[in-house]
Amino acid sequence: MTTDRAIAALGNPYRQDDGVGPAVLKRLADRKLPAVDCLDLGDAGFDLVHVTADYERVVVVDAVDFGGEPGEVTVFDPTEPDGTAGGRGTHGTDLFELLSVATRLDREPPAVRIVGVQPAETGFGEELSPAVSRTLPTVVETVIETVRSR
Amino acid sequence: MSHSIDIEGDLVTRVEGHGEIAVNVDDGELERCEWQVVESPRYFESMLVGRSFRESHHVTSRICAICSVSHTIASLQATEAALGVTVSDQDRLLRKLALYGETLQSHVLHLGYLALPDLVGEKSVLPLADTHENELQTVIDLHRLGNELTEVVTGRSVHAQRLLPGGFAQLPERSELEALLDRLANSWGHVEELADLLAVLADELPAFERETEYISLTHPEEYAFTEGTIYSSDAGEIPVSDYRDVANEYVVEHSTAKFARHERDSYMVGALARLNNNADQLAPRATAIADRFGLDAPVHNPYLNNVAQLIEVAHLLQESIRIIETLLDDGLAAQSDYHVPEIEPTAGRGTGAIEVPRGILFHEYAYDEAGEVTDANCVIPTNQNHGNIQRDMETLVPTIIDRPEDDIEHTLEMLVRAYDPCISCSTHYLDVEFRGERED
Repeated sequence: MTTDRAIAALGNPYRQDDGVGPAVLKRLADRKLPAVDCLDLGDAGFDLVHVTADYERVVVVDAVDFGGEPGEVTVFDPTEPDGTAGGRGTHGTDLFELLSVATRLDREPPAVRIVGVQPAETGFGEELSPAVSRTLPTVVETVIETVRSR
Repeated sequence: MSHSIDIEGDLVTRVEGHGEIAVNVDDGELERCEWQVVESPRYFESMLVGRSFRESHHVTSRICAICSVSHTIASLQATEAALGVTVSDQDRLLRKLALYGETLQSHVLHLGYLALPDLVGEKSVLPLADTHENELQTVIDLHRLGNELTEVVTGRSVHAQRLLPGGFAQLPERSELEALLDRLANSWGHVEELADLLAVLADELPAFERETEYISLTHPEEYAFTEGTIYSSDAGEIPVSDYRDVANEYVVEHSTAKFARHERDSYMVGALARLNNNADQLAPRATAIADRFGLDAPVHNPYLNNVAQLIEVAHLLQESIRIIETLLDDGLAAQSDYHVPEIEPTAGRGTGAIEVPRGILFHEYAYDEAGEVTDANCVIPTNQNHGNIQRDMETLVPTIIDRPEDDIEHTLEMLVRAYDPCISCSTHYLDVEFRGERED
């Protein structure tokens, strides 16, 4: 931990669009963002509890089924009443429930945003679907913009 | 009282992955009782074929995030056995430490996040943030400690990067081990708090017993996790090379995952199986907790797997302290950072067997002369427990058949959760081929 801001990627690179989080992190590595820690949590969603305790601003990037068009990008604020409506991460552990537990326990809860990408395919494979692959530059810019905003 | 019950494929929550319980009772008669695994196939074994021996453990680490280090170590053991690669005593100790960290965090996560809501009568962990704030914070602190243990050794708390065939790419700093030692030594209060909480709530665990076959690793000198031979409570010691004779996998109609059986029609793996087979090798602090809960092996109540996990948390903490003290006393052997052992690949076949949070895990790989995988087989603990969950349900349901439907359903869900199944982890699925007519 070297700063107060983090980008946390969730997802499995061997499950097609489920791996959009780690794919974004790879691209971010080339950008060498100053004052931001980039964390690959794999599918270990529970570790977000520790990440939210360690940082003041956390941007989670993950495949989220929010009923959008494949490749569509949405930024959720998990503290807003409708921030989670219809949106669930593609992992077994409930991302939004975890964030709720973490922020309830934290005396000074961080600002958390979820950059969700609507997946098209989450089966076996190392390639992102064409729809999600095309949207990757947009996701990267959205993540950077979100982590830098106040 | 005779009545009818229709619990139809309701998804069991607070487990990793998708499993369903189906129970039908007609006029007091049990007609159907099934543990249905409905997870889709994952094909990791096919993904390994054609991979270099230098990357197979990175692929299998992605089978599961809760036990990624477990899969990495089992994978490395299989690769090293196949290629005839030896690992130093120091690096074997470091691997053990990484596995202990992962098992610690996994057990704590299960106890605090997945099982605890049952014991306090809640449907999820969310309300506990208000009603059991301190206890939940203890769970989170212990979970972080497990993560830190793994991270100091492997460079990351999940999907380890430093582990590689023959050793480590990079060793932890002495100062990191010293700091970790302090944190471990100062965490006994947290373990006591967790034990206090579970002691208060232990009466909520159903008093159901069914003796079964218990299978784990065993080792003459230690409570086995990373090394040893297979041990069956029915058949005694069995060489690891005969693991396929132990995990006789078979197909059932109501599950996409394979079930397993050995001497009986099902067997149990996991913390309770380890405790039943190796209890006299537990660390003193772990034995003290076993005594406090009155656990005297063999224990035949599967719900007490929760308590067995708590006992192992104490064992893992005490053993981790001992291992770090040994490493610090001996001093870490010097090696360059990003060290890669020289390995000349040869064709061969090898098996790795380790105890991971949910039970015994086997990886077996065959390599060709170029060091590429030609065949892979991974037998996951959860797959080995499916048959035992099914038999438990068949025995338990007739004894509670007169209870209200939601009570039966809750009792069965608690049973499934007691096994801490990682259903999404179970790579070993059927190649489904339907023959003839199907009703659906």
